This record gives sequence, structure tokens and C-alpha cells, in this order.
Amino acid sequence: MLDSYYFDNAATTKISSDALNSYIETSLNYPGNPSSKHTLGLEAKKELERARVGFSNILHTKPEQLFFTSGASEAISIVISSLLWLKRPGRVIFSAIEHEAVLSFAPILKEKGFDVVILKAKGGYVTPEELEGALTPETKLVAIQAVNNVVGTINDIKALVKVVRRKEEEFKRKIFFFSDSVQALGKIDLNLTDLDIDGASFSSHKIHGPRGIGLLYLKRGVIQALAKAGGQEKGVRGGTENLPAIVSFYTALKEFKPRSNILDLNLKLREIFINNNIKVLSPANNITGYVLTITTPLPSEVLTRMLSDEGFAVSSGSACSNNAKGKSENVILALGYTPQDAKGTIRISFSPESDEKIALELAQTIIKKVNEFK
Amino acid sequence: MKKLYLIKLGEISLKGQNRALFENRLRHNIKDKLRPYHSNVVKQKGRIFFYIDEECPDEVIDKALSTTFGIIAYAEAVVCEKNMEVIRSKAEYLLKKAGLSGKETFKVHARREDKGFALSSYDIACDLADLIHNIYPDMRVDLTNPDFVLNVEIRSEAYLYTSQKKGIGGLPAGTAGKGILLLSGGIDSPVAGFEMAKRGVNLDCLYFHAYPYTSDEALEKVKTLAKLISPYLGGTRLFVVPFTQQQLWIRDHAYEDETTLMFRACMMQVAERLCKQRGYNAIITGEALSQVASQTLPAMAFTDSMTEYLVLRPLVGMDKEEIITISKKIGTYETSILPFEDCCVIFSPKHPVTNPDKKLMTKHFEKLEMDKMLDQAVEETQIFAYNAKGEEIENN
Repeated sequence: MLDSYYFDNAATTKISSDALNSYIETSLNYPGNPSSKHTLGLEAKKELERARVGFSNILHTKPEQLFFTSGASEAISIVISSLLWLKRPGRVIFSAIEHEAVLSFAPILKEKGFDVVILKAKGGYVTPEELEGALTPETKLVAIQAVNNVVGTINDIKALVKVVRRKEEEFKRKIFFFSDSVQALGKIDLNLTDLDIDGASFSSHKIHGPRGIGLLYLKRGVIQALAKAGGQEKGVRGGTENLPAIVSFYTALKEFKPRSNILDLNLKLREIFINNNIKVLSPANNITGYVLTITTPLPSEVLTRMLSDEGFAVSSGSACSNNAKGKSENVILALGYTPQDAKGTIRISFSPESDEKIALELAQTIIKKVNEFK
Repeated sequence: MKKLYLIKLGEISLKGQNRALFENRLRHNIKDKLRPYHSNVVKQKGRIFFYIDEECPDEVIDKALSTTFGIIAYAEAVVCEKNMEVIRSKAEYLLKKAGLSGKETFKVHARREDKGFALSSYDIACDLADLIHNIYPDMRVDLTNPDFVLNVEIRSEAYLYTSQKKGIGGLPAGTAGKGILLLSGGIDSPVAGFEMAKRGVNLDCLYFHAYPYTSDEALEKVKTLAKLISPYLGGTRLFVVPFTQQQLWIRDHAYEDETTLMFRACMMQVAERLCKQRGYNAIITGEALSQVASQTLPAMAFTDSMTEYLVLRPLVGMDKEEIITISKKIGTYETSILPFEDCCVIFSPKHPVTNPDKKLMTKHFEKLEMDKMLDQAVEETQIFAYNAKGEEIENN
């Protein structure tokens, strides 16, 4: 499969040559363990902190507010599982369209006595009113993603945080606002200090960085993680730091140039689909443009295989079965679409490098396959 | 040096004049699984004495014997001269090898096939019980539920063994003709294959692949299932018949509520073509009564009528739980429950017919005029082959 036919960039991206080179160079030049006290260790530690400062400049944070993890899932897990330390459980609020890494905690928290409230997020957005209605003095944590991974909608995090802060004053209690920002990184402006959130998670492999490395932002610079392990990253995330991956992630982020006309491409494809009677699930406004999700009468897995045979890679939302549910099927239902829509979901996701001509070819191929099927 | 296994035959020993046929088949089936290790077999009434190269690992022998139909039990044995002195020394050797604590209960089970031997089985048992008691004074006899059993059989020579393992019984695969098994990716059909192989049927498998409506993962799953049941079947072949055009044709031309029955009719007709081509005597399916819409009595009567060949449904009267228990026992369950469906949701009618009128259904099926399409499906069949060890091999 040619790179240019790859339209599953929201799932993962190919590592860029610069990021890969930086991985190799860091591996060769900084072989020491950052915790070691010899020269090689100290050099590695310095390089690690240099990368941390680099990230903090881009994300508008202090370096000590950033922690390296194995990925966003781990960053999320560190934050949410820390709730299990609480002596008295309280309320936890998730949006219905969170990533599984967040939602999978709902049954665990419920079992531990937490009152888990799931916000509807109709159309892909959580409204301040919806959030406000759910906040109580017992609320410990709110998790709302910055950009949705299934339809590409951008939540107004700043407005949502404001609601929480207002309520905090009213309740005289702190509420932790967490925002999974995996799909936002590099694609929308992120000033974490200005957003005033308490925590956020990021992943490297969605922006042409290496796999297995992610970032956790903590405003207060500390959290009592469930496991400290070797105490690295101030005990927030133990385990020897993956320095080559960290530096490579930083290289990828520095290099990641958002595509100025991504919305034009998105809207162009959208129009083509609509004109050909294919339902588009991604809204036209408040989106990053990097994701376009449609639904067709063909089961998504089937159309994905048909497109794969033509050389295209897209993401199928659901499984071709009555019994098995696809990963994003629940999210599509939560967005207010029908079960039938959820069965036929196809997510097209772009990278800044995506070729417009080939994207149009993809749209035509989808239309052809759907028409053949009817 | 060779290791010796004593193999007990169940139903085979009840056979009359054709017993040799069953024994020879069993011998062939066992040897087949243990290649390239050299082995030879000595048959004696109700037993097979199986000698195999010492290098052959115990677990390989275990896997072979525990998956071969026709064996009700087997044990690694020692052989010696029919002389009580020698027998005692062998018994002592086995006793030490068993690693007993000396507190167990025991039983000596003696069997004297050679009536010329001076001691009766009771005398032999008492003699060896004395020996055990002398070595381990605290061990007590328990005839009903002993911790340790010493078996002695006096035949052309004396055979001694301690731990006996259960076999799977049945009759050797290949002694009851050939059948074609409709193998889906589900729980039932591998069990149906197992049940028919148990009665000696030699089976090949048939799968209908509707790519891209079913995935290659679903095909891989069926290949794994064929591989997993292959040791019980004494080796098998998997025929993969392309079924996409046929399913689409039915979707577009049949009444929606009848589509499943039309698919089933096609499957029977494809199986029949293979029976004619390759000499199978029967078509075997994993259907259980009323499990799904196409498995009601009228639906099965209709699909039966689509072929002149005998259709066997060994699971027809079984509950799902019973089927699951067997599928776990034979090791197919974990593969069967993988979430790769063998039929795409778009081909499943919302309200399938459960009480079809055979005549009307036949008329509707004939109207679809699928003969040529089915011939073409058979022509395009892909074949995968598995040996009795469950390894994929070149299909010859």
C-alpha cells in the first residue's frame, strides 16, 4: 500500500524520517540511564530535560508540569486510577464520546462506589449547560476530550473549564478537569496554561512520532499515582525513561506543520459525499478537518476490505456481525445517530501530507462501491 | 531401545471376522501420527502393544494416543519373561519409579490371558501385594478407590504398568466410509466432525467464503479449526468455496425472509457436487434442532431434499451447553468464539422463515437458476490439507 493511499491517520501515522533519525541518534549518543550518576547518565538526564523544556514551550506549560508516559492511554490511566486512593468516592463525569481508555474506567469506578455520570455530547460536543447540570459538590473529576477521535469535533474546553471553576468556587471544593488531547496535538492551538485545565494526555504516534511514547500534563505538577515503580518522573510514572522515543516525539511535534487548507479538503469531500447521497456524520463546523466520518449501507468492515483491495486504508467503525460491536459504534450512537448509521461507519483521516487528488479518488471509489452494492 | 505402550481397544475387540480391518486401520492411524519416529505394533487379543523409538518425547506420544479414535485406554508398560522372580523385580522397579510416599492405598490388578501360567490372577495379585507391603509397610489395600494401581497381564510375555490414561474410545477414523463436513467458524460444526470421526468416518471439510463480506480472518479461523480437528480425523482437507457472487445473487433475487434457506440449499448442492466428484458417502452438518431459524424440522427437511446424499446431523438432539463442553474438551472452543463471523450481517434476513413449505421453497430455489453459479463455485475451490498431526501440508 502506498503512503499516499493511507487515510487512517487518526489511528496511527508513519514515523517521519526526521523523528526516526532523531530516535537513532539519541539511542547512539545518549546510551545512559537518566537516573545514573555517571557522565553518560547525567548527559542523558540533560537531554531528557531539554526535551521537556521543548514540549513546555510548545504547549505553554512549565517543564515540571509535564511527565513522559508510554502513551496517552497510560497518561489517562495514571490520572483516573489515582481516584482509587480517595477514601470517600464521589462523582466522576465523562463525556459519552471519550476514548475507550477513559470510558473503560466507568465500570471500575462504579464498582468502587463512584457515581459515574456520562454526558451525552450530542453531535460531538459537550455544552457548558450540560456540564453545569451534572456538577455537584461531590464531583472529583471531569474528563472531556479536546478533539473527538471518531468525528473530529472540537470541544470548547475553555468554556467548559470556566463552568467548572465557577462551580468550584460555589462548592468550595476542587474539581479536576482532565482533557484527553490526543487528536488535538499539532492540529489546533493548545495553550494549556490558558485553557486552565488540570490534566491532559498526548500521544506521539498520531503526529508522525514513534509508538510507545506519550505525555501527561498536570497543572499542579504532581499526582499520587497508583504505582510509583522506580520513582522516575517524580513518582508519577515509574520506569526507565524512554529517552530516544521522547526526543523523537519532540522532533515530530516541532516538525508537525498543520495544513492550512485541511478544512477546504474536508468540506470538498463532504460535499461530494452529500451530493452522492452518502451520509456524513462529521459536522461541518468546529472540526479540525483531519477527520471525516461517513456512513454507507455497506457494513463498515466490508467497505474497508473493499477499499483495502483497491489500495486505500481507512478505518471501519464497526464489526460485520450481529454479535460483535465495533470500537466506535457506541460513540456513533452517543452522537445521536441510528444503529444502522453506526454499522456503516467509515472514518477517513488525513495527515498534513495527504494528497488531495488521491483523497478525491478515495471518495469516488467509495461512491462506486456503494452504488454497486445498492 | 524402544518404549512400550499397552493400548486397550474398546469396541474393536467386540468385532467378529472384520476385526483385523479395524485393528489394522488403528495401527495405521497411530503410526501416521508418530512419524518420523520408528514404531512397530504387536496385536494381541483386545490389546495393541506399541513399540516406539525411545527418542520420541512422551508428550508427542500422549498427544497421538489421546486423539486417536479406537483407543479406550493406554499406558506405558514394561515387558518381561513370564517368571515370578523377574516379574517381581520389574514390579519393584515400577514401584520406585512411581515416587510414592508410602502412605498411599493400592491395588494390584492381575490378568492371566495365558492360562498355562502356573499362578492364577488372584495368586499373582497376592504375591505382588506382599512385595509392595514389604517395601512400604504403611500402604494399605483399597480395591475400590486406590491411589496407586499395579497392573500385570500375563500373555505371551508378562506386561506391567502403573498409570493408565483414558483414550477417546470410538472406532478408528477411516473404517466407516467418507463424509464431507460443512465447517463454519462456529462452535458446532467442529464438534459434529469430531462426533462422526468417532464412529470411524473419514472426513474432509467444506467452508463457504464470501470475501469481502466475510473477512480473511474468518477464513483463517476456519483453517485453524480444520487444523485443530485434523488429529481426530486422522488428517483432513479443507475445501474453501467462493460464495460471494452466489450470496449477492440470492440477496438480489430471493425473497428476503427466505435468503438463509436459499444459502443452505446452495451449500447442500455444492456439497453434493463434491460428493459426486470425490466419492463421499454423506454430508455432515453441525445443526442442532431449533438452534437458529434454518434449523427447525421443516427447514432441515427442505435442505435435506436439496441433495440425494445422506445428510447426518450428529448434534441434532444436543443442547448448546453439551456442545460447548465437547468443544472445550477437543480444544476448538477458544478458536470458535473469535469474533470473525462466517456470514455477514447484510445477508441475514430480519425475519427468516422458520416453517417453510418444502414444495414452494423448492420452486423458489429452482427459479433462482443457480446451477451454473454453483458449478463455477466448485471449480474455483481452494484446497488446504492437514495431516494427522494437525500440520498444514501440501495438498496432493
